[in-house]
Amino acid sequence: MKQIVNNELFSKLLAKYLNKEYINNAGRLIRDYKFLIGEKRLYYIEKDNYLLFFEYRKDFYNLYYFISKLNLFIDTEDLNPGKPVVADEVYREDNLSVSTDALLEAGFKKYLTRIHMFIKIGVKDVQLSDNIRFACEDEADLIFELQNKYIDKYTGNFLFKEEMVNEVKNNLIFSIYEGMNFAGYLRFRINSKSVSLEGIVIEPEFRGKGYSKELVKYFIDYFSKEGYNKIDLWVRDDNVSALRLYDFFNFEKTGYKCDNYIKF
Amino acid sequence: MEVKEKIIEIIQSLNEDFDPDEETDIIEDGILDSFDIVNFIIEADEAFGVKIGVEEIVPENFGNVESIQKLIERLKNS
Repeated sequence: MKQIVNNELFSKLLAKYLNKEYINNAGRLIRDYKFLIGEKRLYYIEKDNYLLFFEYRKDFYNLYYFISKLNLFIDTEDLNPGKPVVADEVYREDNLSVSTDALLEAGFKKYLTRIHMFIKIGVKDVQLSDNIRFACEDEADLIFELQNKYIDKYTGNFLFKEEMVNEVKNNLIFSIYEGMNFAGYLRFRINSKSVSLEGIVIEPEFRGKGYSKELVKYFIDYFSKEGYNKIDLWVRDDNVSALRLYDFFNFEKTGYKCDNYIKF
Repeated sequence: MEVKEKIIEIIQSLNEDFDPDEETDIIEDGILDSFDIVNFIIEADEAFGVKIGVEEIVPENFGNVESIQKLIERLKNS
């Protein structure tokens, strides 16, 4: 496994493999590669019939693959970096991916599935509730602990401690309170004209009181007011209460699904 | 088929709601997301024989059909 030392090397490798002869799961990598190279967390293995990128995530690696359609085979040796390897496979519901067999063959197991949803939002003037605010720095520990307990570390866009502190500093988390007590958070990513909901966790003792719903309503109202045009999110297909919540706010399926595979 | 028409056809195959007569920004307005962009590059490689490099995936090149057309013509002539 070799480290990707600069953007030029990455571009050169992709130029060879980004075509119809190869299948890939590189959407997110292409969005994030500059950041990962800057952090020295991107590695690769190049063989005759594939190119594999590994994003180092401390406890595991995220795998981004380019595999030849003519030879859908990955050498298991290349998938044993000493930590678990996670592969996301994003596809449209009506267009099942062909790489599944290669992953299973290489020793991966199906882990879980998420579906992609969105709503369009438009400018509106609303009164924002006052029990929700941007999280403050001394809540970063609490938020990090909640994430550790309730968000899947392999597939839930799980953040490192220092990343979470930065999210708080950059106003990318809303906290909700019951009186003076912190009750939970909602984390998001801001794109140019849209926002992505990255995760919601409510402390167990404050559950069942409608706080998730309040957070989502606030989130929608806040970014409508700010003039954003869309909210999107990925939700686990087995998370019935979250699906019900997003349905309440009229989120629709985009047709994209993501299957997560893992190899321990 | 003209380059421009082919570009529209590829974008519509990735997002059927795309209306080329409407003033939208293809990346900023989320007509194509990062998954679609990967597919767009692959389709453009086949349709026009050009390799769009990852470093070219910037809003200036993917704002609208005309900017994509300019990018493809530049790559074809280079």
